[in-house]
Amino acid sequence: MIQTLDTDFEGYLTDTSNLDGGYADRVYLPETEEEVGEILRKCSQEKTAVTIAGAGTGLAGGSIPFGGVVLSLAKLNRIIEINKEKGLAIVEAGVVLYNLHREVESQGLLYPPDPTEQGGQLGGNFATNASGARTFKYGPTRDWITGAHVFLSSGEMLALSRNGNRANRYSMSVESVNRTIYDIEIPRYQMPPTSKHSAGYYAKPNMDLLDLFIGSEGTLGVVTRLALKLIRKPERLFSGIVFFESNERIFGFVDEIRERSKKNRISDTPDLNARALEFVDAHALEFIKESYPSIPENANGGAIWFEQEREEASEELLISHWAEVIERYTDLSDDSWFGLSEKDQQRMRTFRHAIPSSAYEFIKAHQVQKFGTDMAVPDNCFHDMYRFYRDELDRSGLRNLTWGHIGNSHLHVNMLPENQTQIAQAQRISDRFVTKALQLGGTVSAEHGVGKIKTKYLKQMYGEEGIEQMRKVKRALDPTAILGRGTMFR
Amino acid sequence: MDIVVCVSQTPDTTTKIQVGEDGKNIDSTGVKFILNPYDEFAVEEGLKLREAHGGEITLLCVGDDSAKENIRLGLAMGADKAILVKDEAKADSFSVASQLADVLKESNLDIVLLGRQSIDYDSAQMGPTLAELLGRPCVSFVTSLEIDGTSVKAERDIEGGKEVVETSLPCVITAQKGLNEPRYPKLPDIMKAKKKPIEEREGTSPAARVETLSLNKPEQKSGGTVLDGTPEGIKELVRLLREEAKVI
Ligand SMILES: Cc1cc2nc3c(=O)[nH]c(=O)nc-3n(C[C@H](O)[C@H](O)[C@H](O)COP(=O)(O)OP(=O)(O)OC[C@H]3O[C@@H](n4cnc5c(N)ncnc54)[C@H](O)[C@@H]3O)c2cc1C
Repeated sequence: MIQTLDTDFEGYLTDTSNLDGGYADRVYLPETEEEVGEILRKCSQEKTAVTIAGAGTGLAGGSIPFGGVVLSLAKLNRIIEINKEKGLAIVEAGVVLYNLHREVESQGLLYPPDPTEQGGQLGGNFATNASGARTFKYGPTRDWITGAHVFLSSGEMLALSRNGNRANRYSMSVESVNRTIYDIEIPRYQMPPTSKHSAGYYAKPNMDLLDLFIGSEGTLGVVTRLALKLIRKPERLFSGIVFFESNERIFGFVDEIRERSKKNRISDTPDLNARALEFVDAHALEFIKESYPSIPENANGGAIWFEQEREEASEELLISHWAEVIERYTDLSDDSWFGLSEKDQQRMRTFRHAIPSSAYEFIKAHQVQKFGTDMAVPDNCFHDMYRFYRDELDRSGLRNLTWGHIGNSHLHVNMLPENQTQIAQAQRISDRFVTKALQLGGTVSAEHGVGKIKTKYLKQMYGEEGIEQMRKVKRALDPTAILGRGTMFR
Repeated sequence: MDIVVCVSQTPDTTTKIQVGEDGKNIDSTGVKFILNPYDEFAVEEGLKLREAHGGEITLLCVGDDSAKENIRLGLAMGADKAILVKDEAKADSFSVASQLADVLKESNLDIVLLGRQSIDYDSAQMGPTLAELLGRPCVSFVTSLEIDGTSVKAERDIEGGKEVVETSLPCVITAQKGLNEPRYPKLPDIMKAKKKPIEEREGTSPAARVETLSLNKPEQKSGGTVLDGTPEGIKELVRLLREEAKVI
């Protein structure tokens, strides 16, 4: 049954970005794929704008409608199959990540992508190429998608599988299940050489069509069903939140762990090999200190949260390697937190999640805006980038806190301006951050996507020409231009 | 101070429990076991007592080899040594308590700490039964503990309030949530834990006094009904409460 809610759809007009003013005529909650097709067919005949909504945890305004209708995937939320032998899950797009994790882990399996926010839907994760702490070892959502059902605005469905449809250099054609052929010209821009990237359409010669849809933020089609790769859940972990007295030492530590982990990914010796490497700066620690009184007083360099997979046979050696490095870089090792049990490891993840969520609660409660960054740079430019952030922030006098995926040279710098002057100042600083990241070969968005709030930055990254090439892709797949209006480009 | 902390392992709280083929036990294939969460409060309290009064902490567990990994977690938190009484059957609470008592009767202990209950069978009998077998006082569900010399002052949760009781060492205490915040293990303790001794003893596996007849999963809750706030919706609500739920 297609349901429309005529009242009470406030929840569909916002996400977790600052963007407000969203409005829509109606919300559709299809319960079957056929209904998705019908809704799209009707909307494209009437040229009604369609904004696709996942769980609304996005940070870039992608799911916020400005007119037209909202198509929510919330009711397409069945886990269809978990196949232990094949290491495969088939899910509907509205399945919430938390539920999938719980289900696969209870069967001794792991779906590696772990965005800090577990309340998003798999379709939302697909559409933003979401990533998380474990992306350091396992890559972003893109690497774990092996197939998808995508409905185009015409109402036709594409059944895509990994490597099922590759481009010939820069051109590609695809046939829908009802045999309409779509010709696509792949954009020519070069994507940045960062280890994470989620801004603009994925584009490479000879690319796989599936990759075009991953990260397309609801502008090319509605994903309704996904096939995901699963692995055996590593038996045990060793994890820690290590506190540091100074910036120099924390970044020395990070450089060493990052390099050794990258090396050991290939060599497979029982040396340290972090699967997650995350940073929390001293301001962010200050922010949550009340709830976590055991944060040491002099953690002026911030903290690193890491996770390492271990096996009984080699764990002693492994932990001694970690201990050696930790003790070399910090005097706070006795005040740091370590965990061998799943419960302690969960406590640390909760701590990590508490940082962004307490920032969101703060901005809601105090009615202030948050200016957050999502840029990643190549690893060898990280220090330059961080110094730039720090100088600008210290000079600005704005309240700020920083956390993020330092293993991937990707931090979220957040400014919380308190009045109009400060808002304008934060806006100017954000612009300078983006310019600097681009100079260093970085991306304007590593994981949250462009949405409606970073369109100007996407243009800055790829230029008008790049944007025009993306528009061309969009015209080929969504000729009535009804999907995700205002997202990615205008 | 000679401190004993009794620990056990329970299925991980995220496990999907299945009833075994015999209809009397859970099916433990693929189940991950964790240190019983209330026992962590007991271990933490032991550590605090040792910090304040000196002494040694022994972990005591009745179980099989699989319990060793969770015993090591207690050792990594800082306990000094452990005793594992080998008994796969663990026939019932009394059977386990009497094997704990067998070990403790010989020793000169000052205090025994346990979790208020294990979160699998939730019977909360272990502490009081053990105290009875040892002929020692027991304070259960403790949320605050003060020890001065041999006098003990404990606060415990009771329905709608707190009760403050006094007793003296040696005694048995069961830990309730709120007693403390279990610490993360320290790096040197994690490394030392591997080398700390776990002494193994053969259990006597006494027969059960309680027989489990059957184990059943709770009935599945059926989905709720959503009614809107219109006058018709409210009429319907009243009708359902009267005719279906029969509560008004
Ligand atoms: C506290 C917090 C922490 C976060 N941490 C991370 C993090 O670590 N890593 C990370 O990557 N993100 C993070 N996010 C952002 C957010 O959780 C992700 O972007 C997530 O992927 C969004 O999923 P959603 O279902 O909420 O999508 P929505 O917000 O509903 O939508 C996001 C975009 O995807 C499109 N979309 C949604 N579903 C579909 C579909 N089925 N088909 C086509 N398009 C669709 C929408 O149109 C929109 O453009 C965080 C957010 C919060 C609030």
